[in-house]
Parts: sequence; C-alpha cells; structure tokens
Amino acid sequence: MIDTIVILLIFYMTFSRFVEASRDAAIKLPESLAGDEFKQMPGQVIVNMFSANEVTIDKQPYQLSDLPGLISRMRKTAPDGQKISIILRGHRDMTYRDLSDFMKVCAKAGVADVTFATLEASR
Amino acid sequence: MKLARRQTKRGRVEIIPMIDTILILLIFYMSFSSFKVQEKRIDARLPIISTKVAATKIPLDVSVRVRNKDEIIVNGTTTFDLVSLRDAMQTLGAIGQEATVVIEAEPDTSYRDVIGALDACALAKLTRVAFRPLADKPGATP
Repeated sequence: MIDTIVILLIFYMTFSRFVEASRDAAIKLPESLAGDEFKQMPGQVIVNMFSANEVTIDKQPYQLSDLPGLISRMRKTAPDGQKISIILRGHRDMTYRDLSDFMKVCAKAGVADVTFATLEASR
Repeated sequence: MKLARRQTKRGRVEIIPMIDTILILLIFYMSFSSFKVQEKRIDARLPIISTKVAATKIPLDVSVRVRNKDEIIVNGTTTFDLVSLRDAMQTLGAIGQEATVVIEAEPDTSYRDVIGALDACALAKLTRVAFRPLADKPGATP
C-alpha cells in the first residue's frame, strides 16, 4: 500500500502543475491548429474575458471600460521603451459583440499588439 | 566492580507518521493541481479597422465575414466552411503573404468561430490580419 501511495505521489508531483494566478482556469479557450507556445513576455497583460461585463486581470474583476486607465498606469510604471501589449484569454462562447467591445477599448488604450490565447486542437 | 553496560538507542524509521505525511501530500497534489494543457498564442495586429475610417485608406485584399463555422463569406461572394476556408487561405498564402485579411462577424457569432477564421489565416502564415468591429449603436457613448 505504501508503495502504491508513493508511486501515486510521484506521479502527481511530476505530471501536474499549479494554475497560474494570472490565468483564469474557468475560461474555456477556443481551439486552434496554428499558434506558438504560450509565453508571457514582460509588459504583457493577460486579460481573462467571459463577456464584456466580466473581465478579470490577475484575479481582480474589472469592467472593459477600466482597461484604458489600467494600461495607462502600467505605461507610467513600465521601464523605458517597454511596450504594453495584451494577451486575450476569451471564453469560447462569448460573442463577436464582446470581442468588438474589447477591440474598441484596445484602440482607445492605444494598444496595437493583441495576442489571442487558444488551446491546441487535435488534428 | 561491574560496570553497567550503557544502553544505546537504536534509531528506527517511524512508518505511521511517514504514511500520514505521504497521504497528506498526495491529497494536496490531487486537489490543487491540474494537468498541463498546452496553451497556444496567435498574434494579431490591431488597431482594428474603424468603421468610421474610409475603406480606401487601408489596402483591403480579402474580407472574411464569419456568420458561423459553416458559413464564412469571403469577399462578399464565396461561402466557405472552416475546413474549406483553411484551404482557401493556404492558396492565398501561397500567392502572397502580404495580403491583408479583414475579419468581421455578426454580433452573435461565437468567439470560437472567429478564432477559427483567424486560425485559418495563421495556418496560411498570413500575418496581416485585422478585425472590423461592429458599428456603434446610434446614441451609444463612444
């Protein structure tokens, strides 16, 4: 029994990872075949979005309209020359209306680079 | 005089506390961990083409209107589904990767279908992808 428990423990310790605080695990991402490995670079803000009214950044709830203010505060504190960009982790069932609102807010915040997070689709 | 032999304590491994610790660790790992699901990223460049800007200012090569995954209208004429859109974009990508693709959709089109269209562009290595947002409702605050 001890052997089994130890093997199970080693299995879980090896093949599991903890959910990162900036990534909301409840979001079901859309799938894609293309795309690079997910990496968060300096100056990138991860926006978790269920809908236009349900946005979380670093586990803090926000409204989409709060985003320009947040981005401008980040710009002030960012090192010289560091560009602020956004990684959108949008729920697969949100609508284009929500995405459209998000894009308008990005344009208002002066953010040109947006990365869409997806899940690797099985071919 | 007879000297009493000194009692030496022999160390031994306490099995029961060890099992307890291992069990607690096991429960901890089983509860608070998740298996690695590979997340990917697709880069797109904004700003989005504004509905207020005259279309002639931006070189529009291909316009992709997503209604749902089975009804994607390219340049207002040809209707594709997601699979055939991938093939069409591959062909476009083979001709010239400088082509600009503008994606738009119906208000209620699901995000997953929009990302499907973006994925088709990314697979064809078309990097000039923009989104056209929905027009503001009359009287809505900008």
